[in-house]
Amino acid sequence: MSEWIQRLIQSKRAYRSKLATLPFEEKIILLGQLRQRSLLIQAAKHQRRTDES
Amino acid sequence: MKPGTAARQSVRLSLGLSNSSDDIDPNLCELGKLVVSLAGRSIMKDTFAVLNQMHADGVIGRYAIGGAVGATFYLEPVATLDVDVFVVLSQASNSPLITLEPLYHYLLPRGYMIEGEYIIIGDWPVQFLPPSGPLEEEAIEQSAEQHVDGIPVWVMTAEHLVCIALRLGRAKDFARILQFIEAGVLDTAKLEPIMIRHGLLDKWENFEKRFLNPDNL
Repeated sequence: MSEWIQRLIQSKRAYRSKLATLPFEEKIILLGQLRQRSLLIQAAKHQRRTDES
Repeated sequence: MKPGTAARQSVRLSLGLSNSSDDIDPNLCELGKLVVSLAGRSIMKDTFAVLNQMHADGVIGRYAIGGAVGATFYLEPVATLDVDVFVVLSQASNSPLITLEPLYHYLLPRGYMIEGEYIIIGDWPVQFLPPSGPLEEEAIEQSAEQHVDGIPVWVMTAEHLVCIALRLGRAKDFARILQFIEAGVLDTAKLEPIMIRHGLLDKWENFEKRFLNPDNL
């Protein structure tokens, strides 16, 4: 594994750890945003299927 | 402006579509309303408040938040569309079947909506799940009290969440177990007895061989 990839993995781990230590009140906001994003992705897929048919 | 126009525009913009016409799919309009309603606020604590009120009113027994929302108490936020609430439900007196009827009788007159297997509470779809065996029963019984903006909420312990994920054994469950391990939030002194009590040691050994074997890393 290259040094650059290792640094990348470490930085991702550090960011995830930082998110994990947030108070749940702040995590809820992120949960809402993640849910919103998932719904939009679903909608985009639906739109693509509609466009294709 | 016609009803739903703002929602349609919001979805169009989010999807990178032109905002000029009005022909977006009606399903997306519903989604757009939801997106607009979610924008800039978090109302999951309302969901917890309603659960506590249901418990106080005797509609449900003890409950525990599980699934991705439960995991988020210990890990970084995990993407999910719903809230899994494990709950001891009452049984109809003359039937062996567990029924959700008391929940519906309580929630529907108060304006909450049913969508498939979910009840929308505080804008989050909530799935009420009766325990499917002794592991979930124990997870509810031993759940930990947490507080969200001063609202108490019962959440499964990290160790029970891991054991339930291990038992379910889907790819996303294994990924979540790895997250718990990586986050260092598991207490092995608590985890191992749960695995022994519920016959999960074989599954754990398989998991270790597949995902924690240094040769595979």
